[in-house]
Amino acid sequence: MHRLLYIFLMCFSLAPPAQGREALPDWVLYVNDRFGFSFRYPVGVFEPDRRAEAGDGEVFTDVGGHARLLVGAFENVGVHSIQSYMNFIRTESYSGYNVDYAPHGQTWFVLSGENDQNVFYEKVMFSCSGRLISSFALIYPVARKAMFDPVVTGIEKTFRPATNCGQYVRH
Amino acid sequence: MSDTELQWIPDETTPAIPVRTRVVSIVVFAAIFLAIGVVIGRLTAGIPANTGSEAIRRPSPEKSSQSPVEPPSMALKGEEPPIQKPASSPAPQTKQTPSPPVVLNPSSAEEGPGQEDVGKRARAVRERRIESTRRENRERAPDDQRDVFSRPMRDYQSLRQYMLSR
Repeated sequence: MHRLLYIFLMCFSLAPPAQGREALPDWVLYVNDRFGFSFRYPVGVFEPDRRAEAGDGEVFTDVGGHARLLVGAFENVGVHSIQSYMNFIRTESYSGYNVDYAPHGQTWFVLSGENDQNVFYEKVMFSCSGRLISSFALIYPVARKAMFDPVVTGIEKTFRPATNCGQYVRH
Repeated sequence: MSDTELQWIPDETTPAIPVRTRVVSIVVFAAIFLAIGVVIGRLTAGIPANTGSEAIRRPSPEKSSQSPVEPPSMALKGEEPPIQKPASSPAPQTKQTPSPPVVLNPSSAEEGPGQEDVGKRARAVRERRIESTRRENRERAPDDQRDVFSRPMRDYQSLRQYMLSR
C-alpha cells in the first residue's frame, strides 16, 4: 500500500506544472493621475525609468536596457490636426527611420518603421475634442522583434487616451 | 515414503502473488496515475493566474457610449498592408458594441433602471476599479521607492527627448 502511495505521489510530481509552462509576464494596469490615460504593460519586461514632474508622462526601460517605452499626454497647444501632428513627429522624432506603416483614423494615427538597428512604433490619440493628445511609443532593437512585437500588441490593445478633459491641473 | 516426507510446509517467505504479477500491476498503476497527472496538469494550464486582465478583454459599455474619443484601433503592423486607411474606415474596435442587458425576470424589470442607469452604474464600477488600481499602485510603489527606480524629469517633452536621444 505504501509503495502504491509512493508511486501515486511520484506520478503527480512528474506532471508538468501549469504555471511553469505558461510563464506569461504579469501585465499590470497603469493609470495616469493627471490626465487619466491608461494602459497595461508587462511588469516583468518593463520597469519605470524616468517620470515627469509635471505628471504627464513616464519612460519605461526593459530589464536588459535595450527597449524603451514612452507614455504621456499633453495639451494640444499647437492646435495640431491628426495629419499635421503626424507629419511633425515623423520629421522631428523619426527622421532617421524608414516609416513603413502609417494608418490613421479621425482621432488617432500610428507611425511605425525601422532603421538598421531599431524598430519604433508610436500610437497617438486625440481626445477631449482634440484638446488633449495621448500617446505611447516603443523603440526596440530589430534583433528583438520576436520578443517585443507581442508587447506592442498588448499595449496597443489596452491603451486608453486621456479622459480628464478640463479636470487636469495645469502645471 | 513416510508421512513426514509427504507433509508440505508452506514457506512464509514466498509471496502469495507471483513477482511477475506484482510488477505488472505496479506498472499498470503507475501508467494510470501518470496519465491522470498529465490530464490534470493540462486542464489546469488553461486557468488564468491573474483574473485582473479579464476586465480589459471585456468591451466596456460606457466606453462606447460616453467616451469623448473615437475608440482606439486594433490595427497592428503585421495585420494589414502598410497603406493609409481612409478616415472614414472604422477602426476594428468600433464593431464591438456592448450586448444589451439580458432581463432574467421580465415582469420585475419593467420598472427597473433604464439604459442611462446601466451606463451610470458601469461608469461607477469603472471609476471604482481605476481608483482601487491607483491605490494599489501607491501601496506597491511608495514615493521613496519610486524615487529610486523612476527618476523625475520636467515634463513629457523632456521625457521624449530623453527617450529618443538614447
